[in-house]
Order: sequence, then C-alpha cells, then structure tokens
Amino acid sequence: MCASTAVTGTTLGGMGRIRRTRSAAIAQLARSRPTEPVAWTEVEAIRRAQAGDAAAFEFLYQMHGRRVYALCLRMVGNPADAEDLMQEAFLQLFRKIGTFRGESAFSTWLHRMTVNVVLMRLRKKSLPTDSLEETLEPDAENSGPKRDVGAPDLRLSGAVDRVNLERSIGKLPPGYKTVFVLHDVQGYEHNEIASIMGCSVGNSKSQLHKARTRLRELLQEEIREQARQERQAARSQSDAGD
Amino acid sequence: MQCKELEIVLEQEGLAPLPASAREHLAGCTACQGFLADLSSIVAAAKTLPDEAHPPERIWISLRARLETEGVIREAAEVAGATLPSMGWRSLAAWFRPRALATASAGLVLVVTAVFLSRQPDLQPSPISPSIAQNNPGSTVSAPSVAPSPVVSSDSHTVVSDPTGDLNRTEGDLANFHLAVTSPVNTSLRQDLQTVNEFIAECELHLKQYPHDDVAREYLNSAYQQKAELLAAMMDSGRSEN
Amino acid sequence: MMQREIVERGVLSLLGAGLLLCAAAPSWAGKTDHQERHFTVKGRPLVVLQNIVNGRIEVKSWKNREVVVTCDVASSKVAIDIEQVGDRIDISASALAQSAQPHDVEANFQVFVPEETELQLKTQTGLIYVEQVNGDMKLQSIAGDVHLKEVSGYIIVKTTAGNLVCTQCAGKLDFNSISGSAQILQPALSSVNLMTTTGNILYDGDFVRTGLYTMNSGRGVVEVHFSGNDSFDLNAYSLLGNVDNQASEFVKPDTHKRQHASSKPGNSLIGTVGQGLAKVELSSYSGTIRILKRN
Repeated sequence: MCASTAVTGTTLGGMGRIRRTRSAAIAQLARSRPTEPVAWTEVEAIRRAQAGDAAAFEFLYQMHGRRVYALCLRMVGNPADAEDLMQEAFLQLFRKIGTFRGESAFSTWLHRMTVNVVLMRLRKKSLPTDSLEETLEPDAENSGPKRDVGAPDLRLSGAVDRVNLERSIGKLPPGYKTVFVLHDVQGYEHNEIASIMGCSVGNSKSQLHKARTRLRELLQEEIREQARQERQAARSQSDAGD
Repeated sequence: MQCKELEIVLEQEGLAPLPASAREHLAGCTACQGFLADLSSIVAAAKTLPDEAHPPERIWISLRARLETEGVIREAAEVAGATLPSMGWRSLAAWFRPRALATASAGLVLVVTAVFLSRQPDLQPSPISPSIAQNNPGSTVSAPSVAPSPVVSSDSHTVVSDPTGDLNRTEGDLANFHLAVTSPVNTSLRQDLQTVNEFIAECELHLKQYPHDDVAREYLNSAYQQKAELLAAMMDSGRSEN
Repeated sequence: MMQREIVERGVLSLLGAGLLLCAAAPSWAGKTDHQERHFTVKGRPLVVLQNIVNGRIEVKSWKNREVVVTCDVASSKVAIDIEQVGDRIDISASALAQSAQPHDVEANFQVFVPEETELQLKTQTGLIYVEQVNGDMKLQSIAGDVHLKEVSGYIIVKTTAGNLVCTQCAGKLDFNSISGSAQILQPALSSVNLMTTTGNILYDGDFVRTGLYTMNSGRGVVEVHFSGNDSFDLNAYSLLGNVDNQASEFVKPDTHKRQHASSKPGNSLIGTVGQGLAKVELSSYSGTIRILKRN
C-alpha cells in the first residue's frame, strides 16, 4: 500500500507527464459557474442571450432562479417537483427569448411562464378540491371561504408562527396560493400579478383576500388542533400519575 | 356600514388605510377588529418568509445541456487557454455534452478531416473557418484546436452542410485510420457501427415509401446522432491507441 | 491567475514525477501494482474517473468524509493520474505504450465515497458498478456494462454496446445505447428516458405519480411490468412490430386518442391504468412492445 502523498500537484505513475492540457480541460469540466463576475445589466444580458451567449443565459438564470425556485417550491411543496418545474420554466423562457421585446418586465414574463408551467402541472394532477377555474374566476355567491359574520372568532393571538404559516400555505388551492405567494411573499403588485396570471386586477385583489381569509381559517384549525393535543397530553399525564 | 360591507372594502382595498365609514364600523365591532388584526398578522408573517430559495446546481447543468442540445446556446466548445497538440484534440467536455445532430456531424466532420489531413501531408488542407485558424496562429498545419461552431443558417432548423454525406466521408476516413489497430474495443465499435448503419439504411428505405412518417424520421435522426457519437468514440479510441 | 496555477502545478508535477520515477521505476516493471490514495473532502465531492485503458470501476459509499481510491494496475505500461482540487477528484488511467497488449493495459479501480457524491465515470470495456451513492452521475462505457444498485440522483448512462442494470434506483434516469439493453428493476424513478437501437428494455417497477417514462427501442423488445397500485396514461406504438397487451383488463383504452392514432401506420395501444397520473410512452421501430401486470 502506498503512503498517502500530497494531494495536490503530484502525479502517480511511471512517467512524469506535463498535465497542463489536462488541467485546462479539468477547469473546463468544473461545475459551470462564471469564473469572473460579469458586470452586465439585465437588458444587456437579454440581448446577449438572444444571440445565444451561454454566459448571458447563466447570468439571467442566476439573477432570477432563486425566486422562481422559491415560487415553485411553495406551489408544489416538494423539491423534486419544484426542480422539474423550474427547469421547465427556464427552458420555455430561454427557447422563446428571441421573441422578448421588452413590453413587460423580464421578471414578469418569467414568472408568467413559471405560473403557467406550475398550474398546468397541477391541472394534470386533477386535485380533488377547488377546481382551478373556480379559483381564478370565482362565482361571487358560492365561492371562497365563508366567514361567519358577527360570530366570535378564535384570534390568532398576534404573532403567526412561520412554520404553521408555511404549512397552511401548502394547503391553499392553487389559484389562491399563487396570488398570495406572489403578492405577500414575493412583493408583486396587483397589476403585475394580473399580467402574470392573465386575469384582471380586481380578480387578483379578490383572490388575495380570499387566500388570506382561508389562511386565517387554516391557522385557526392549527391552533385548535394544537390545543386539543395539549389537552390530551395533559390528560394522559394526569392519568399516568394517578 | 355592516360587517359584510367591510369585507367587500377589505377585498377591494386590501389592508391599505380604510375609508372613514369602515373605520367607524371597526370602532364598534370586535369581531371585525379581530378579523382585521388576524389578516394583518398573516401579511406581516408572510413578509418575513424567504422569497428566495437556492436551487441545486444540477438544475443549471442539466438546463444548459438541454439548451446546447437544442441549439439555443450557440457557442464553440471551449478549451480554456490550453495549448493543444496539433492533432486536433477535442475538449473532454465535448464528450460529456450531448449535441444536436447538426452540431455533432458538422463539428465532427471538420475535426476528423483536419486530423486525417494532418496525417496526409501531400493533401491540400480543407477550408476551415477563420475563427479556428486564429486560435492557432503558430501552427504549421491548418488544424483546429477547438471544435468549431456548427455551420447553421439564421433559421436554426436549417443546416447548411449535408450531415449524411459528411458522416459517410468521416466514416470512410476512420475506417482507414483504424485498419492498423485491432483491439476488443475497436472490434466492438466497428460492430456497433455496422449495426447503426444497417438501422439507418432500414429507416431510409422506409421513409422513401412513407416520407411523412414522423416516428421513423425521429428514429433516423436518433440513429444519426448515435452514429456521430460513435465515430467520435472511434476517433478517441484510435488516438489513445496511437 | 489560473494559467499560472496550472503552470506551477505542472512544474511541480514534473519534478515530483521525476523523483518518483528515479526512486521507484524499477520496482514497477512487469508487476501488478496496487495503489491507494486518500482525499479528505468537505462538501459534496465530485469524482471524475476516466479509464481509457480496460478495467473495472467500482464505486461504493461509506460514512467517512473521505474519498479513497485504490487501483490495481496490470503493468508499468499504464499511467495513473490522480489530482484533487477542492472537493473535486480527477482520476485517469491511460496507456503509455502504443503496442501494449490489451491485458497489459488494464487498471481496475475501487473508490469509496461519501454517500452524497457526484460521479463522472468513463471506461472502455470494464464494468462500471455503483452502489448506494446519492448524487448526479454521468456514466459512459463503450462495451462495458453498467450496474447500479440503490443509487439516486440524475443518472445519465451512455454506452455503445454495454448493458445497464439498474436496481432500486431513484431520481431520474437517461440511458442511450446502440446495442446495449436496459433492465430497470424495482425503481423509484420519477423520470425515465431509455433509448437503444437494437437492445431490449425491461422496466419492472412502479410508476411514480406525475412521473414521465419514455422508452424507445429501434429493433429490440420493450417490456413493461406494472402493479395494481400504478396509475398512468399509456401510449405504446410500434411502427413495424407488435404491441402485445397482456394486461388488457387493467388498461382502459382511450377511444378518442385511438381514432387519431389509427391514421398512422403501425400498431398502437393508448389507454389508462388507474387515474392516469403518470405518463408512459413506449415506442419501437420494428420490435415488440409488451405490457404485463405483476401479480
């Protein structure tokens, strides 16, 4: 067994061979990341990407990828699907980048593709509750969470637990979830959300309100469930003590 | 104002400063006060949720590979800053990166032709694009140091060169190249070359009868792509043994 | 900066190798050589192994944050290069002598890696064997087979004649071969893309909800075994061969799509199993497609 030798810059083998060429190839095989930061604007990067420049594509991906991934992750709830959707969204975007004329913000365009990709995937899964069409174009009488007007509510007691909130967001129907994440988490305005989702500003506001109301109900259920579990735990403890 | 009317105002205006009539109602309605406070807590908590998440690096790697395969990314296969032997060594990275048929066949034809010509000093060198010649200013042979960009027209679906004819010529050159070298690897490669040629012939015959058969055409394109990669493997194998 | 580092590394390599050569060359002549190298890694390492000579590559995982490379070399006609840069380890084996016989230019590798590792392996005729490694992999072989057991990640396998056997693998799988066959057994794969010109394909396992499974063979047999819990849309088409549905009581035909498909030449089967949550597309140019239900 050979003793360990220095791990960098040494060569085992019978012949001393200059490895400059291989080292250069290795550098190229390294995980693709720009070796030097590029000082482009988004407009410049888009122009270069339209010409097929790989570094420009990567620049745009790095610029927007984290928000897109966060959106996908919240929408589908698991990393594997989120990765697929993110890749699909960027693939569609980059394939069509030649058609981008700057009529809307690039991020709006990207998010629109992302939302379309996500919603199409969710539509294919045919979730049993709350049809997609219903959440996007509600019937004023029959849709949306119901609030017992005037009845005493279980207060959320001020601060909302982030873990519970994330869990509750995951339970929202796709339309509500999309608007809530885009507006309250990612900070888009209603006119941008309307452009992303292909609906009216009024619709976007309505969906947002319904999403918040529904989240309130879900969080209240969480509080009730936690209180119930605490009572049960206390009961079994006192039973055990007897 | 009634509770239901307040809800409509909240739906239209969000949590923005409310009109006087709404504030008046709130002053006297504890249920609506609680409702508004809960919505405010939810929105405040949502703002603290991260709006970005880090996607795994493999997404970009996979995405880039797809974009290169589809020709969306259009750049020469790079070998960063290396001094390469005049045999026309292809970047190791090109072996791992999948290529569209046009890119593979056109690039391979040029590289193999250069290799073949560098071993045949009495032949005239084939025309090589100026960008490739510039990469080897000191070279005495007109051999490329990098795999050249594909020769494509502005319509990305049109390939200027004739891939099938180029592939056949490349194959002929390689057959001569390999005649002196017999090894299990080369035997296997030659057998597979025969297999893929037979399959290509079968598909072409079928397409003569059914020119609109998309399935057969897809199989034919896949077979051509496999053949191009097989020829590249034969070239690599021959080089490593010679 | 990079160029300077490359030059410095190259000069050091040359000096080091020269010293090693003087000290050790006589002991290598005509003997099998066993070498072992240890590399400490911090994050998720990337192991790149190019076995240009013949030989087997075996990669297994362990709990240590270390990559250990052991190599058995048949003769002194093989050069082994191993280099570490951060968490990336590059290993290559190449033949030194032009006229060496195949049995002289053989190098077998055994590599132990952390469970989360990315791999890029390339060989000519030897077996590639990977077990219990999680991470993206690119595995290439000319005539050697590829055996994977309990691996997960984005797995890309390319051979010209080598076969793939993939047991209890998860993640995504891409396979492309000219004459190699693929056997996918007990998988938990959400995306499968298998393409072989003359080899056969056997898929015996579950279809993950919302997964996408595409299997194409030019001339070979494409055989799929599913279970009663599976749920997928099926589109099977053979241009010149047959589609043999041995699970007709479980595959509900889609009459609307069938009418559209019947205008194409060839044999097809379009149907749904369960709720059709996954998508399965089977295609063969002239081979048989066979669908069976597991008991």
